[in-house]
Amino acid sequence: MDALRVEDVSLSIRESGILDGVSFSLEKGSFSAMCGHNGAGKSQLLRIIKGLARPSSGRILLDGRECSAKERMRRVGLVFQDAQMQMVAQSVEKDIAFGPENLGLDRDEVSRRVGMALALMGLEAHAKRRPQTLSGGELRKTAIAGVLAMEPDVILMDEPFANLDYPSTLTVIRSLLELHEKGFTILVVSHEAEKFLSHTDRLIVMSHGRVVVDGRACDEYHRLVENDIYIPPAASFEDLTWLA
Amino acid sequence: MTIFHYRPADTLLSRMNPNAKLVALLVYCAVVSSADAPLELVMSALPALLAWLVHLPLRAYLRQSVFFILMALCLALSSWVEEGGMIEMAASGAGFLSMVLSSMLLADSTMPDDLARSLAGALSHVMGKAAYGVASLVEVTLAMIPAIVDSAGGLYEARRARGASFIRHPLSSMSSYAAGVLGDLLDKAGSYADALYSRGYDNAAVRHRPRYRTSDVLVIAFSLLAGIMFFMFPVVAD
Ligand SMILES: Nc1ncnc2c1ncn2[C@@H]1O[C@H](COP(=O)(O)OP(=O)(O)OP(=O)(O)O)[C@@H](O)[C@H]1O
Ligand SMILES: [Mg+2]
Repeated sequence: MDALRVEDVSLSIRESGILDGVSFSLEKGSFSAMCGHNGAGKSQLLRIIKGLARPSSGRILLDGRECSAKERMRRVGLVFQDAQMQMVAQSVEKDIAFGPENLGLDRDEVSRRVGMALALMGLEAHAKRRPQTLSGGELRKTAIAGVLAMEPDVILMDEPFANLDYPSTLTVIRSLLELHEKGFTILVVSHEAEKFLSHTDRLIVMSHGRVVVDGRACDEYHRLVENDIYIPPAASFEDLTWLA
Repeated sequence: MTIFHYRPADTLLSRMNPNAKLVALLVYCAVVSSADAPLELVMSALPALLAWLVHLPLRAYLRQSVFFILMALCLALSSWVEEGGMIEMAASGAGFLSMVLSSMLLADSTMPDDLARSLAGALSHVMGKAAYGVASLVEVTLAMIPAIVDSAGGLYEARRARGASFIRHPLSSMSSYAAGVLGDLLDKAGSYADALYSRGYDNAAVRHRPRYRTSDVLVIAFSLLAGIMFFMFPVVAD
């Protein structure tokens, strides 16, 4: 059963086409990568899947059933590109509690989820800190933890490696692998394929608002170059990671 | 370090319920500002004692407190001119400073969003759910401020780095800067709204607020009682 299915989604803003008949699906528990040049329409697509924007046409299905934007808002987790703009509270712990509290959960359940998310992302030592004092990597992990605490069925991440240095990138890759092991369905949007692609099982490439490649990552990765995505020349599939 | 800012610490004050601190502060200020000189002088020592107990970094705040100290001197001087007594003079200066110090203590030991939440909890008995709405608005606005201040600073530096001179062309550079900040603000507000809604933001959601402990209840009861005694039976003050 597909956890997420996008069917023929199009979007135009003021006459200009941004997405043009995008279709793909994500298997439950899979770890997929979506690549595409700047302006290909990846972020807009994520906003539509999450329910923040309405497509001009097309359907979004979760577990094989069409879902309203409101339901997707609850069941799909989206980690934005700019982690700083996602901080809504005065401490890491309270920031993570924000989502569960909005779901109307009771105090014990909220603190269970906060504890779970802190542990999963290895943030226990930073629980009381102010988000403004965190490093880029810690900030990104806090943003991910805030989404995890809502226990979404599908996690979408928009450019999770943007602005991160080498060690922080490694921490984020490791957390992604851990989430994958725990059985979350994950879609990572990034044009930095060489940092993580070897860990994924699916590759979707977007170009000018269309899906141009969709298949097993290990079979299709060599088609990245022709779609303006950099991978090191002569790299094998196993080389496409920053993890040693 | 900035004065009137929360400083994470594990002290008796920071563990207290924000509402208990607020009630104590209000009663304290009411009593101090209407007590007669000897009592005012004695009571002024209280916040100083507390500040010493919780290790408030007064030395670091000294430069930022110059304004308040000058104000206290003015007050002391004018009460000396009016009433002539040394005790009156000392009391009015010390009383003013002690009120400033006690609000510093509140700010130092309380996260602003905790204060908003627990106030909402108390007000909800009167205003109903609307109180939570106001509190959560305060809360998310507070969280957004650092990002705005940050980017306003960044925009300023970016302009300077590219040769904008705020001294030579004050009007044009200021207006272009203001437009830049405003545009950035709108942009940020858009992505901030996205982030809020994507995490199920609901300003009517009942948020968990800091709990009351026995000590908090005692502080509230004692403050209220002391206030009532003071204002109902003026003999106490004599
Ligand atoms: N509000 C808007 N109005 C008009 N066009 C827009 C709007 N938002 C985005 N676009 C356009 O939609 C296209 C896709 O934008 P999107 O942000 O989804 O790209 P992206 O693939 O995420 O790129 P990047 O890698 O730079 O993040 C771009 O050409 C952009 O100019
Ligand atoms: Mg994008």
